[in-house]
Amino acid sequence: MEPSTEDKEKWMQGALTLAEEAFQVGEVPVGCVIVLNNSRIIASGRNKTNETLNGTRHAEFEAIDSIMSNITSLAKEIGANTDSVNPFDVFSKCDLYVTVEPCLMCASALRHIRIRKVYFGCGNERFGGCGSVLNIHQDLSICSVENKDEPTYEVESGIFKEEAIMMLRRFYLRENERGVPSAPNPKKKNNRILKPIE
Amino acid sequence: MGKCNNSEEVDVFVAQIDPKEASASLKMLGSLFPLPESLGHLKRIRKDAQQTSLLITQTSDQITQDSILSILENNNFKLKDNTLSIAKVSKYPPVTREQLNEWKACWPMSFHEPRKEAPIEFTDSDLTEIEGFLDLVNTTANDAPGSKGQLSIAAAIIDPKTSQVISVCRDNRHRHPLQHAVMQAIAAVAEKERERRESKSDPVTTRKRKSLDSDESVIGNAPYLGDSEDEGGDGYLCTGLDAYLSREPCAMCSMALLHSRIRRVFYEEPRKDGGLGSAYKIHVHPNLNHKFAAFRIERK
Ligand SMILES: [Zn+2]
Ligand SMILES: [Zn+2]
Repeated sequence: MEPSTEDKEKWMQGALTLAEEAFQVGEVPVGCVIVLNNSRIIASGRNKTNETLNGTRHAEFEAIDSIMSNITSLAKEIGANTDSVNPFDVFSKCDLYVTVEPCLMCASALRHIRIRKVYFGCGNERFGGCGSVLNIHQDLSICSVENKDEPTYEVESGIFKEEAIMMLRRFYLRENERGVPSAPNPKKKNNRILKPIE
Repeated sequence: MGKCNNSEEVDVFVAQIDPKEASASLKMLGSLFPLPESLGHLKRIRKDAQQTSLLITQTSDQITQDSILSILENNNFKLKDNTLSIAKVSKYPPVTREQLNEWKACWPMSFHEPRKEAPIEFTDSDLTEIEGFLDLVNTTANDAPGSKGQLSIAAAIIDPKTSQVISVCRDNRHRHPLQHAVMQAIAAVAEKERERRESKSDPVTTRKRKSLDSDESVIGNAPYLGDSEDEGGDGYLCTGLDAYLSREPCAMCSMALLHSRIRRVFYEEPRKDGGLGSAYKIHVHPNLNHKFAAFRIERK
């Protein structure tokens, strides 16, 4: 059952709140929520790459990890087998709402967990894995032996797009005012000498 | 505007300014509308006898002309007349001088003479060390007993300057679908770094912020590694480090290595869904802001 426009805006509003929180603590302002059966938010996350010193701690990972730490009771809630809990029983009933298009890493992670659907605010031209740089969400060629059951997922973009963009702009403007060079002025590419797999 | 004669063009918004405002405007433009790295070959400003124009941003359905003008206005950006025009510019950097001369007619660009790529040469002792680390990874991957359902996959992150093993981790996806060996190994490096800082009583929250690599954007922002400056790093977790993997990493793990700015990756078994040569070539993707070297090692 497709969420109504009001539902989608309500859930994305939750994601924007998390992005704002990231902004307040000096992280790149990206936030997300994961919604079970379009009925309630069961996890949320925001970017934490500075705090953790780990450049992979994107909002999506924070939210997914919080579900994994609570997976048994969530499986119980949806009436799935709790003797040997299968996290996919839960994730396949979940939608992700994230303010910015998931990067390649997160787009692939969302395949791994078998998310049902992904809603995002603005696109991510530099890293986006759901259409901008690659189409990881729909790519059938990445079904290996072990993840043959990993379905593709649909994405829908544009919910509170302007708000998500403005939040990013505000972030980079502040970095600039602080004298921290941020996104501007792309640096010259280093010419790599070693490129055996091309 | 001249004609590019270039089949691949993109539309950009251009505005005219007073030449006296050029340097202030350029500075502000950099943070208001950073250019994506894929357009890094384009100069931001064009001056000729009649006028000084700025490249504001690429046209997109994500932002309207009016909202651009209001952002500029809110930041006291002084445009000559309060309008934008659209120009066609080359989507790609010129590869030859001829292309540069032809394409810069429509908008100025920078040009870098291509460098000849040297063949890769490893000495015998390099190869011995590489094989040694791959052996370590395979031993870890096949460690008996392993818990039930655990896959024989492992990853190690090494400092090539000291040959020190910083982390070596076995795959844990049977317990958590995202805890692939690579993700575990990166998390372990970050944890070590956090511990090291705590022991130096250099709390993460108060450390000095190092300038971010200039092309960082939207997501994938790596930590501001405060004291890496005095250690010669550029502020990213795995700068200068190598990864050794028992098999080609998936797209998630390949991008995680890129986000961490790994230097080189060595793996043995190729995988159909792999991100470093098989399904994708994330390490050399032209649109991504960092590149690294990946090697598949074949052994008898
Ligand atoms: Zn991500
Ligand atoms: Zn992986």
